[in-house]
Amino acid sequence: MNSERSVGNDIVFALGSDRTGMVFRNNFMDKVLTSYEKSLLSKVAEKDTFFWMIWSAKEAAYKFASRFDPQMKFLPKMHSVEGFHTYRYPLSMSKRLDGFRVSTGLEEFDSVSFLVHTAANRVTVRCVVIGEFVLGVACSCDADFKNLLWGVKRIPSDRYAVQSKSVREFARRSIADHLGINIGLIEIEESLYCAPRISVRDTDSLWPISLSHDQFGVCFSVLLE
Amino acid sequence: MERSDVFALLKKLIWEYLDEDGKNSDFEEHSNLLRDLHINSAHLIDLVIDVEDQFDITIEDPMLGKMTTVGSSIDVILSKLR
Repeated sequence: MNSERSVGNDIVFALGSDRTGMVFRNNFMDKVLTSYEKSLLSKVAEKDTFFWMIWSAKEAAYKFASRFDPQMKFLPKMHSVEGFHTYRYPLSMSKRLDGFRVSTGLEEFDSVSFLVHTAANRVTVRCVVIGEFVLGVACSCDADFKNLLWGVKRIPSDRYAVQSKSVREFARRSIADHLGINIGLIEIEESLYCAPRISVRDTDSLWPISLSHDQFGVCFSVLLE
Repeated sequence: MERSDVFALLKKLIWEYLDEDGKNSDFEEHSNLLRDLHINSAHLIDLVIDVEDQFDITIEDPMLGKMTTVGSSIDVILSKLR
């Protein structure tokens, strides 16, 4: 286990027109799920929701691990679920998320917790359902979730350029509000080739941050001290 | 099948997963599927399944990691067709 701190997250617009039923398309599941993951999926009633939880857990774990290895590629079966624990089963994916939701920690939410193995790490990923979005957040241990600031926001466009700008601005605003400082003092440097970085008052922070977007949703997770 | 033929067919498959901006611009062999064309990882799996159907081939798990650019995807397809 790498001793540096990291966080990874992923969002899935699970009720998107190209998402519902996608799980059962041809051999999609064979391409992305291990035998163990398929056995987990076979035991639940809400297969679509649970599938996207497993998927977001894999993506979040990948983002967690790729902070230490930017060359790492996302190969779904290589980021494999080894176990899970249900806190309270979150399946209320019927309400539309209006606006946004920002919170610290995940304790107040119904969540499923997965243990996910990556090439170099074994991480804990908690998945929650917020409106029609599935969100997965990966941390190195349960204690880290208490230091988590995260947010989910619905955006009006699914264009990549809009998603990319929206998620950065949403995270900057939320972090600034949390710290009680002007948004102009927060910068987030995002790169396609390495993990994003936060600077506060022109000084690099040590807070790992992860940004994600999918269709009409964006989310961020930042691990504060 | 020639490389140019594979490229033309692959372009049509990729186009389905581009956003509005992507559909209005062209791309080449060096274009990265994730970073340049912004195809998300779930749709990359969809694309692989489309490729398998289109070319009647099977792409095994280890080959997925090689399909990073349009050009490398063509390489994988051609290797399977030969």
